[in-house]
Amino acid sequence: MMTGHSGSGKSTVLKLAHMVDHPTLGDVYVNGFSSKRTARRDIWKLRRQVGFIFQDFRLLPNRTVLENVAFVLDVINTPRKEISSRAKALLTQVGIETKSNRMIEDLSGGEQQQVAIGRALASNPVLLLADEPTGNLDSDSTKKIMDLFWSINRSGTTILMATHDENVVRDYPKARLLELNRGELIKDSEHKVGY
Amino acid sequence: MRPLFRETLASVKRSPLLTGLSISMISLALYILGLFVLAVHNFYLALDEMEERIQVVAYIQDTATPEHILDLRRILTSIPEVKGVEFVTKAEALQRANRELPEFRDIFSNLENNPLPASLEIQLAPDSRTPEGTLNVVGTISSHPIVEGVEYGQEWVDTFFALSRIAGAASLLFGAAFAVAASLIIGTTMKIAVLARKQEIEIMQLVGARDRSILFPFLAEGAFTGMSGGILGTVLTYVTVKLMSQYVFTVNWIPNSWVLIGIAATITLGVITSGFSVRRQLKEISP
Repeated sequence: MMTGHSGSGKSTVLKLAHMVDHPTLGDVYVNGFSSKRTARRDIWKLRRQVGFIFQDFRLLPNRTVLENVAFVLDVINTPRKEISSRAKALLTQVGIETKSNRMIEDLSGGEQQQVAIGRALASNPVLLLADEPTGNLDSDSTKKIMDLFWSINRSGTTILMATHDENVVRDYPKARLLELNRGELIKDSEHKVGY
Repeated sequence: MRPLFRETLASVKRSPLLTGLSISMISLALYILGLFVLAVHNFYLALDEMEERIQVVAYIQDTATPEHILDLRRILTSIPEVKGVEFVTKAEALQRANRELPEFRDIFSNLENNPLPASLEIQLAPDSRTPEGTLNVVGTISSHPIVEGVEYGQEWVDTFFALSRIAGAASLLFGAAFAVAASLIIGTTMKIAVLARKQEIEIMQLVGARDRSILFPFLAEGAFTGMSGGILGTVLTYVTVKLMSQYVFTVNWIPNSWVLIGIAATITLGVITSGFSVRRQLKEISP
């Protein structure tokens, strides 16, 4: 978990890791991809290995839950015959399969985030980046999403989550905690920070 | 890659309002351009008709013998500027005057001698219906001994060609302006259509879609929207022509090759402007 005040650089770290932003100095390595040496036309290869979850979900409002996930499977060239079954499997994995035919705007915030997580898992990523994924959710939904993250993490996917919610940090003490301040790492629960 | 046609139809079904508006805007742009092209085309048809009427008339002296007239005909038909020559006898000239000037019929019927001269009506070749071509023919025949006088309506010919030149320049200028305006409307419409789906493009890019996988469906949609708008614009123009011909005056339909060029242009513009808009979005989201 990555924590810190607003403006501490949490979102910037995630954007750099997803190569949405590029460092003005130095280099960023993510799963073998260097931000300096990866051409713009090859960034899609990284993004199939690194999923991204937003605070505001970024789902397509004019489509159903199933279509939102199927859309991504289609975009990443999943064989057409497999799209429907894989989309349903992903929705089952995130626990929202019963609402697969509902329109996105009919879902609660927590449910929308479940769909967004299902979508992010579509390409079987090795790393999930989550930018304040519980920022817009109530405590019940937050717990549900965090439990989902734990289960995904236990199945072998690394999750780097930015949050400034102290309750989340407190409720999951087993998570490695990174604290940022003004763009610098000031605390790492597993390693000593400093030179 | 997924069959583009199916993808395109699916996308149209998902956002029928946006697609409908885009097609309407493009068809309207093409309709306005079509009306202008129609006006220019009909104007030029009228000019062509008027141009065909350009002729030189050589009045023959009464003393001329048939051999003299035949000789003059031979000279005239050997000139490349001349398409055809028609001999009008004195009697035919009087008949024509009777027919065309009924108010003088009494005078014509009381004449003791026919005062009207015989003439040779000279039709000019299409390329020679110019002031220069006309003067060449006039110069060749006016000095011939049996020619009493030559008439070709110099003032009318000069005015006609001045009018043709002005019309040519004006139609080129306004045509270009209309074409640019129509292109801008089509371009802006496609840009708005792409902008409305910015979020979709962003999601596609962030989940690892290749740029070309994002681009191709939009290009196909651009082609579909351009083609539909082009066809609808053509239909609207055609209906207008039919209605005008039925209720106002006869309007000639434009050549089919022009119609095909118009539709091909809307398809091309739809594809190009969609492509540019999507590429811009892609670079904006992930520079």
